[in-house]
Order: sequence, then structure tokens, then C-alpha cells
Amino acid sequence: MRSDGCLMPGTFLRLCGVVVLLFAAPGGSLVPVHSQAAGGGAGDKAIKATDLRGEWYRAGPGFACKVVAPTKLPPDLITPDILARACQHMGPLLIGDDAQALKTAFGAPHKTIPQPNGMMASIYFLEKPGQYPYLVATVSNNKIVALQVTGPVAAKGYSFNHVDLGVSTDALVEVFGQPKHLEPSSEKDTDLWTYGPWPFSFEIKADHVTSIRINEPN
Amino acid sequence: MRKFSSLVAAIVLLGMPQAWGFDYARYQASDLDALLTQPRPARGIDIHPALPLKLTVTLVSYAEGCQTELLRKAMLMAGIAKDQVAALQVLGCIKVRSAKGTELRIFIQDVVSSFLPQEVPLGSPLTLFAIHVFTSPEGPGLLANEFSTEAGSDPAKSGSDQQANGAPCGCGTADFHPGIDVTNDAAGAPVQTVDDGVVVKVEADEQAAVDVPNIGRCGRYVVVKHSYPNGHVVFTRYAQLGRIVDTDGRPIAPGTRIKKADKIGEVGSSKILHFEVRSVAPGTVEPGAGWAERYGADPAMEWSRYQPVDPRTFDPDTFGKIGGSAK
Repeated sequence: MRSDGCLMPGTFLRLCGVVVLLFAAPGGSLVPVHSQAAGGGAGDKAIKATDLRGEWYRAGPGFACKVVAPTKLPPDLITPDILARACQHMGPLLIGDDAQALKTAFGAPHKTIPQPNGMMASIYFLEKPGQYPYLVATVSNNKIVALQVTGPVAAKGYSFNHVDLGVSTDALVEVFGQPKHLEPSSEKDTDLWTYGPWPFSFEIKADHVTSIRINEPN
Repeated sequence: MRKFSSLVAAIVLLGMPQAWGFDYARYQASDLDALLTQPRPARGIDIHPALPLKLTVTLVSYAEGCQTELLRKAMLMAGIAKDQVAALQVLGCIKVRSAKGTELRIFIQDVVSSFLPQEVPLGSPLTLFAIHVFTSPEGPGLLANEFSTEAGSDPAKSGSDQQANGAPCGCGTADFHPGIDVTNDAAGAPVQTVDDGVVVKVEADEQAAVDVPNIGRCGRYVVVKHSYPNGHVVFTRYAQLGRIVDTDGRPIAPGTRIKKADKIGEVGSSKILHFEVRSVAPGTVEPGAGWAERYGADPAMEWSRYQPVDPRTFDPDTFGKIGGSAK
């Protein structure tokens, strides 16, 4: 399990200055996010930030989050941080969700571990207690700020951006490209691949993904 | 042998050679002290896109232990192809000193480091042609692919190459030397091909005086034909050979298909390898006087119809002004 704080405060603000966040209109065409600021039309069903889901795409040396919305978005949702967070989802959860979403999805955690800065990590075994795969959700100020799923093989429903646990590094590189940074993980014979300043990272053992972590875009 | 080895090393390592000779021009002049001041990670390594750098340093040590496995891992993450990384031969590092006196270990290809003790005394300045693969808490992770010394202002003619070019192998005449000569310390050193191809000519005997105008007097030699999907054809000739055998000691014969870096012979008693390139392209067909009479009926001598070009500057991608990729 890794600790929080992969990104320095303010990193994502700089990121937003260079990354092109895209919004996909219902028809599938891509338009820059700022051109969607007209907002939803009358009769559109109200949509909340937590309803949005997107996928990361490689864009030049970085990434862009492409969000597909069922209806036209209101202007207050068309902000880089909301749209980037829309790509930070795993299973039924989204970074930025209320902590209550954990209880709704999993019930009580199997274990909780206090983290620095008042944060709390909750562990949920996704299949059998005490066995892989498991999910660690880190909560700060009653919001989910990080999600990490760990295990040697795919955990159904817990892929991230089409990358499952257990896939080869070749498959990972196909989606995300080569990492920006490499360091040993706290796990034996395991490397940590990070893509900073983008808010996701992967643990690699024997050329396969053994853990996927996403966190709050800082 | 250094130049030829460097040619192979450059092709194996960099994968995208602009020319078959070492491409010095792609290495951007850089200041090692400035590189040393760049931000470093607190732990692990930051991956860099193998930026080619030309660095002037002072040699401190010929051999230093270093984490070559980390280099390989970083190279893969820098986007260098797996087969190229697998073929890389790097056993260790050298230590150098920057202009401001900071010492740094630098990875170096084995074939390049083997020439340092002969050509660069410790404490002497040298220019390294290196790629920046990663940055660790200890500093930049650089891999040296070639070096030159101040004595050789033209890197392509420095060091052992300069000696070789100043002492022709005898293949040719005073004003006709159709290739480059590469010296080696010992007879019997393996000679490897620069690319995939087919052996079209094996000459086990010295040539007659009548051969000099077209092909020189080059002792025992092998010619390999390289054919590319876009129709480009290049012949390479490896001459002044000793035994003409493969890695297992079996004789090389015309028609043998070979892969890049396959052994096709050994350096002969002269300790010189004569290497030449002849490209098939408009304007390169210019057989000398009497060519048709002497060789015209022998398909195995087709290669000699074409003009030799300088292997150090020849670009297989663009020769003949055809353009496009050769592979």
C-alpha cells in the first residue's frame, strides 16, 4: 500500500495550463471544453459532477480526459477540475465522492488505517476476506481522495481506463505510454510506475500490473 | 575495428541511423555542469527520452561498477525497442569530471570503452557522445555511445579511425580507395554485417592487377546484398579478411542469408578490415574501363558496377534521392 501525496500541491493547476481537456458531445464529436460553456438546455435532465465519467487519452506528452455526458452540461460543471476528476473512477467510485459512497458500495471496511494529515485508509476485500483483490480507499474531510486496487489478476469491474490488474506492461504502455518516473515499491520485487503530474500510478511485478492507484488531482 | 563496431553499435542502439556511420551531428553540444544542476528525484529515477548530448569532460577512470540493469530498464521506459536494449553490450561505467570538478559515472558501451585505455590517458579531456536516459538522486544517467579526443578535431577521423585512414589497407590505389579501413588489435577478430542481407560474393584469393581499377586489390572478401522493401539495394563489402566463416566456424558461401550483426568472417593478418558500401541508384552506375569484359558475364560481380560511397556519410534512407524510409 502506498501513502498519499504523490502530487505536490498546485501541480494540477500547472497541468491544467497545458493539457487539453476535451468534452465529447453526445454525437461523439470532440470539442474543447470551454466551447461547451453555454450550459444545458431547457428540459435536459439535471446532471451532477459525480455522474460524469470519462477516460484518459494520451495527448502529446501528456493526457487529456475525454468526458462523455448523457446530456448537455450546465456551465458550472464545465471546469477542468470537475472534468479531470470524471476520469478518476474505479468500480462504482469516483475520486471526490462523499465517504458515504464507500458505505453504500461495500458496507463497513474490513480494516482502517490512519494516514498522515488526518486522512484515513479503509480496506475492502473485493472477493474473499484476507485475499486478493482488495481495494484501499483514502478519505480526507469526508471525501474520497485516493483509490487503490491490488491483486495479481483482474478484479471484475475494477479496471482503470481499460487497464486491469494482471495485464502486462506492454498492455499498460499501450494505453498510458511509458512512465515518467520509476522507483522501487514497498512491495518486494515490485516497481512503482508514475505518470506525474497526472494522478494515477501502477505497481509492476514481473512485468505485470499488480496494483492501480488513482487519486485526487491536486 | 572500432569504426565498424561503432557502426553496428550505433545501429543496434539507436535504431534510426541517419547514416551508417556514427551520426555525430545528432548529438547536441551540452554542458555537463548544467546537466548536473537539473532537478533530481528524491528517490527512483525520472525517465528521459534518450536525448543525445555531446559533452566535454575529463577522464578520471576507465572502469567503474554501475547498475547496468537499471540502465536497461530505463532505456526500455525511454521508448527504446526491446531488441535493441537486449543487444546492447554495457558491462560498466567510466568516471569523468566536469569543468567545475564534479565527478560522475557514465555508462559506456563495451566496444567504446575498450578503446579508451589506448587512446585517452587518465586526466585527459575527451568529448563524449552520450544519450541522457534517466535522472536519479545521484545525477543524470548517461550512456556514452562514442568518444573523440581533442587530437581529432573531426570526430569521424579521430582515434583509431584516423590511423586507419592514414594507412590504407592496400585495397585500391593512391587515388582510389573505395571504402574505409578499420584497424584491430588482433587478427581473427570477428567481422559482423551491418544489416540483413544475402551473401552474393565470396572471394578467397587475392585479386589480379587487372582488378585494381574497379575493385581494388583487397585480399579475401565477402559482399553482401541488402534489399529493402521499397526497392532500395545496397552492397557492402568486407575485405582483407582472414577466415571466411560464421560463428560456428562454417564457411560462408554465396547465397547464405545473414542477419544484422551476423559474423561473416574474421580480420586477417593485416589486422585491417576494409569496409565499403556501394548503392544501387541512378548515377552510381559507372563501371571503370574494361568492366564489362572482365566481370560482365559474372552475376556475382554485379556489385562492382556501382560506385563506392563513403560509409561514414552514406544515408541508406535517402540515397539516390529516392527519399522515404528504406525499411
